[in-house]
Amino acid sequence: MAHDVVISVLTPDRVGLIAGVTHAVYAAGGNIRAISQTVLQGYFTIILTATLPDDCVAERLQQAIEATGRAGELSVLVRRRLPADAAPAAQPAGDRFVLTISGPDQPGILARITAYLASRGINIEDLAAHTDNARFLVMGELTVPASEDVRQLHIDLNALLPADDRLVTLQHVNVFAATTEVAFRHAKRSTP
Amino acid sequence: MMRSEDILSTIRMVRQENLDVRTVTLGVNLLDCASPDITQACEKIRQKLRRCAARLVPVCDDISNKYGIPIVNKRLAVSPVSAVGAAHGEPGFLQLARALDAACQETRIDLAGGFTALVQKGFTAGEHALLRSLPRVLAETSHVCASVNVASTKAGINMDAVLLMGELVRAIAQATAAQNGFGCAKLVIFANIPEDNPFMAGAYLGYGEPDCVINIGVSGPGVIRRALERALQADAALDLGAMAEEIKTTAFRVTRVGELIGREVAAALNAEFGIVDLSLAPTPKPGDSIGEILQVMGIDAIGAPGTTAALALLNDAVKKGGLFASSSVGGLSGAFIPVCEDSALAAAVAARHLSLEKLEAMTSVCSVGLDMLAVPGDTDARTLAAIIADEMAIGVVNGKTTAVRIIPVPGKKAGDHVSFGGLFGASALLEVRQCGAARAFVERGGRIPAPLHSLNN
Repeated sequence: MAHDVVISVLTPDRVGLIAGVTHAVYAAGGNIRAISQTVLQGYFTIILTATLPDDCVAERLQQAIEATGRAGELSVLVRRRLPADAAPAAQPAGDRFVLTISGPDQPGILARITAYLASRGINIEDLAAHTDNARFLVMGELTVPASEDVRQLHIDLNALLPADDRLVTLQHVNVFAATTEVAFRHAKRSTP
Repeated sequence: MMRSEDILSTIRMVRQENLDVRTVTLGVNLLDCASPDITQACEKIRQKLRRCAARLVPVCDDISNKYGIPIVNKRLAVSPVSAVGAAHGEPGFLQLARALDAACQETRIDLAGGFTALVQKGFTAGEHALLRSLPRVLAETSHVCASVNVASTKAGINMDAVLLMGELVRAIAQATAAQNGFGCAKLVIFANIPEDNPFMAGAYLGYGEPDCVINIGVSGPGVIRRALERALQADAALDLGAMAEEIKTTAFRVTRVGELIGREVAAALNAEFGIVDLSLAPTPKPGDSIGEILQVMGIDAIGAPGTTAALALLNDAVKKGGLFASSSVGGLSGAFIPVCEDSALAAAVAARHLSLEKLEAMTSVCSVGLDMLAVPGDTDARTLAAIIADEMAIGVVNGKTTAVRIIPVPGKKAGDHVSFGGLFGASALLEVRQCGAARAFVERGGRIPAPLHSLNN
């Protein structure tokens, strides 16, 4: 019986990595369901889900993917995707907001911010951060529960950072969608 | 996740470039409040506004908080009060104005427009009474704004109304002399008045509008100026076509924000969503000025030859960007040039670069007209009427809205400085040349016929 797996690969970036991984899955008789891939400061990472035939075990596929690179080049993990994992976690109710934070770089900032967000029940949907000339920039998309006061969150996030030269914004995602998407559609009126 | 460049550019618009929603204006039909008993009519108005408008300010505050976009003004536009109080004469209109003023006070609404008469073809007795009541209404209330439509492309120009408005502007200035004639800042005289304009002092709820409707006035001169500055930094040789493209793109984004906020407010109030007026409305705050945009475009002295062409480019590009952004564009939609409310225009008047005649020429290619213009207090009623007539002619012949909001400041002369405070701003007084020279013309009265609609070269 066919079964689902989740595969992750981490390696220094080079041309042909995705071709190698996807061919290994195909050669094992698998069918890829979804892929997310990015390169961060020269490191390639990919996560994909696939359906494998009954006779293909995770360990064999892992070895096949590792074999697409030089010895020790690829860190590969293949794990069976259990039905409980497949069901998406209950999404917290609330609106999507975009958080941007920038300021002088120092250790622990991201840990403080993310701990605060977790304490408020705010789920991070997407996050990217980088440093440039000793400044950091964090951009993330959050789901903020409706019970939260956005103004207060903004005040609290500001208080987590050194007072000098910081920029914290928490802006509803619709503002970005409206100003950048040509085909943005406004929500229909809820009541007649 | 969106592109980080898009995110940062939107944040820049909101946080650093004064992007705001200039006004959320709630239109409320008051025609159903008319009554043979004026006290009862006032009570009906109070009750209806409590019912329809009480939540406007808290809802705007909540939505402003949610989106992080300031909503500067929360305003009311009502049906023409000349119709609501037609049977009650001057004293009745004063009572209605007080009722409206009290309702604004109670609901924390900034201003209420709709003390309006539509007299482009002639007066009814009620409209005449409303007009006569204006000096007291505008002197004795804080929130009530008036507008009078004296001309239209279909009807021509009612010169009897124009002459009367010249006299009334002087009377209102005298009635509010202690505030430098500030009452005149709450009166706009129109040609082709729009029925859905959310901006004051000319907002009212037209006869074709819904019972309860939200209209939005967006702003953003600061955003446009910074966008042009950035484009010029990237390419100092940017040509005017490329500048127009930059303005269009920015106007698109500004308009989208306005519509987003407007639709949320309308849904929360269970009101219709009407229009987005994508006018560029300056404030006296430096960095929020139409004049500064013209300077960035290359007009060193506002009022110099070339100013009208630059303004025409700006106005057209704003409209095109806004129209692509929204299918619900209405109101005035263009660039405003209210002298007192725009620090760069006011500075140009003080430097004598910008004259009344040049402003008039500029109004033929942009929104509204001669707006927030302070002139010497001894400017006579006939000359004021002639200024109004000229501006109305531009609107009537070109099939566009034009308007006059002029303040003859009692006791002050050309070049003197006057300040009205807050968003109403400050300016030097403009010189009015050849006062009285058109006296015989405006005293003839009657109606200037509607213009030809073909052979229009």
